[in-house]
Amino acid sequence: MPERILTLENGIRAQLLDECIDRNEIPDADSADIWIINNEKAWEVREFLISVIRHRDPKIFLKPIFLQKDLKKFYKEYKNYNLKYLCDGYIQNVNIQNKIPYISFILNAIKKLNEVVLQEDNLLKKNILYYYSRNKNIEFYESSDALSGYSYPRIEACYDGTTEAYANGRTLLYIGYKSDLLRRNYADTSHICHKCNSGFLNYREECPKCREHNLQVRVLIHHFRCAHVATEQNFVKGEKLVCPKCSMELKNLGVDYDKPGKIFYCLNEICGNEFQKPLIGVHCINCKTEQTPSELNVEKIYTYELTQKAINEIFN
Amino acid sequence: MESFWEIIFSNLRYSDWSTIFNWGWYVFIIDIPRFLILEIVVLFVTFRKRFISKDKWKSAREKLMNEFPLITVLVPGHNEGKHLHKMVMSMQKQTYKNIEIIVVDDGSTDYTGIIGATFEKKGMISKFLRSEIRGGKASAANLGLKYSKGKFIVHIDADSSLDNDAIEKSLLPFYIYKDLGGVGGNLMVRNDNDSLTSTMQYLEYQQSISISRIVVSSLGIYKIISGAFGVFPRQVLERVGGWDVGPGLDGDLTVKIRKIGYNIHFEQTAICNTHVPVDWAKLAKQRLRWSRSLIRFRLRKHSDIWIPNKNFRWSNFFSFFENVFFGLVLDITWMIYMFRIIIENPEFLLFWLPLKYLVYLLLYFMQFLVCLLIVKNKKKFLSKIIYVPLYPLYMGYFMRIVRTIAYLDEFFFFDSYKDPWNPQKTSKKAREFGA
Repeated sequence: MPERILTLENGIRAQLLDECIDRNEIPDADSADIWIINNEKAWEVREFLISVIRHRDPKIFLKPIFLQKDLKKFYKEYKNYNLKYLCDGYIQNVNIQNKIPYISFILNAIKKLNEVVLQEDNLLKKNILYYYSRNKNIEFYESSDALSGYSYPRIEACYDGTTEAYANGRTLLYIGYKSDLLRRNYADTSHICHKCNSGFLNYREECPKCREHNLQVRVLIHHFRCAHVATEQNFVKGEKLVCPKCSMELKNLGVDYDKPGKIFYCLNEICGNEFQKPLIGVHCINCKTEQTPSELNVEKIYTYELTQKAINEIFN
Repeated sequence: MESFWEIIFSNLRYSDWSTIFNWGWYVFIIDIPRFLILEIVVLFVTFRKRFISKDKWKSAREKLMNEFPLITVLVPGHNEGKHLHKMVMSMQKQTYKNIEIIVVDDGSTDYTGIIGATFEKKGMISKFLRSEIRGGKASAANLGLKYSKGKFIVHIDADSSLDNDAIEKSLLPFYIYKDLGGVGGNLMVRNDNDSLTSTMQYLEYQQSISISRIVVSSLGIYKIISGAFGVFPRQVLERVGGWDVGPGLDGDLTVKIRKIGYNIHFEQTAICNTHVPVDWAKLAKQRLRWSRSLIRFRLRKHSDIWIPNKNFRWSNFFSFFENVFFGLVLDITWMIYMFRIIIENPEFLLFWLPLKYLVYLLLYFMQFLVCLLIVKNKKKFLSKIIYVPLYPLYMGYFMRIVRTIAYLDEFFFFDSYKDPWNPQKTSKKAREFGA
């Protein structure tokens, strides 16, 4: 069944895509101005959007694509697919009223670009074209589902595999910056696994002797009267604190006693070390690598915008 | 100058011995015999150990090396980071090798925290413990004790460093004598060239402190193991609950150990080089602190030593008696006599002071010679001979006056509880409970 084509406000032709998404088949670009995805299968939608992004024809990879707000509930479980960030967002019931200026801008840009670009294989250029057509900056997006916690979904969609997509995506942006096509603005700094670049890291105290992280921390108590110092456990007697050295009850913190520090106890039976300055160990949840904080990769997070040079290059 | 000697001689000619004796009997019947007895005992003890009981020490050493127990070197301190390196170095050179070093930083406000942590990281010390809030030396020492593992605890000050064989030598008495609850090391001044103050203390540590400790130890009444260098069996320290609130906690600890029936030994061959105050004001402050503890601990906290009850021991009684008599009683006597002379017969002073000076100079010279026989570094000691003429003034006036002031202000004003050496919060509680 051919996909339905509707004519909406301002004569914008919208094509509702459903079955071609199941088949991951890209429809004819010329038969409609915009595409509206009318398929509730998140994975298939994602595959389709990626195919669009990776397409070499600017009429396709620049095509304005919208998701249906009514289908949002089906996509909700698959937040990590970043569907919203792989297209132009949601519309309500083919109502494009408030999107008209946005769509017109894109269509205009596509028209202009069609005169200069027929096919594009260079990923950096493709992305520059896209962001030019949207008049948008390349923004990062924070998500616990992203490998490092910060992702550029559209850039990363150009590559397969999470780690590769992450690394190649960053390289692409870096090349863009180095060749003066992109200008970057600092946004944040993040520490990520030195092996897999994951930002899903578990930091915990470790025994400096045996590297065990099963530790117990105990609070020290100093009894002023007799200068006895021991962990709180030694003082606890039922509900009260009683000094094991002089048998006096400790009543007021700051008057009878204070808590001058804490001690870590290593619960590794062979080690049993007691210490105050634990090491910090970092465990990568993603690739299970153990590392020290100093071994982590430090990454700066930027937003990117097109430079005048980039725009000039498009039209030359 | 000529007239000075003339006055003395003319006075000597015209004063009869009964007048001299009337005003200065304590010099003749207490101090002169005391000096002579001290020196004889010292020579006897030293040479007996060196020659007669040599085999006993040799077998003790074998026993020690066979057992080879872990020794904890416990170094509590406040803002002492700058001294740590020297101390650690002296530990690395020890002939006894089974040592763990625990440094406790008592809420230092300088770089001690960083220095200590670095030493720990590099493995130069076994453990670095830090109390974030200053709690006083006793609490720092107790914290270190809790996390130590050694069979014996060597307590030293951060600004002290030990001779290479000091730990070994200080452990040997435990393998010779029975029921030993502590061994005190022999303190020497390491910064003797810093100033006249420190040079005089160099002489004092050798001639007075060391000698008197040899004697009281051989009499079984030695009662202050200096905080600078003392060795205790862990099990004894645990029984007495470690250290109590200072100042004067080292003497207090020694008394607590004596009270539960242990003996204390002074080991003159275990040498610790310590840093002493370099100006008179700081020295006076230190000695005020030391002397106040005589009143605080001997007369107040441990007053039960004087009372014959079931825990009474003559040796404890005499150790206190010696301390109080030679410290407090003689000082008061001296003061009363000085006042009496000034009031009743001031012109006698012109004769009496130089004479007394000459008598003591002679005594101190004799003492110097005795010391020369027993000290390790004879050449260095001999080079200080030119300072001996100042020594009677140093001991007789400076030290005596400082001591007397300390006794009075502690007796009437409880000044040791106000000493900023110890945090107020603990001093307040200690005073409240008479500790």
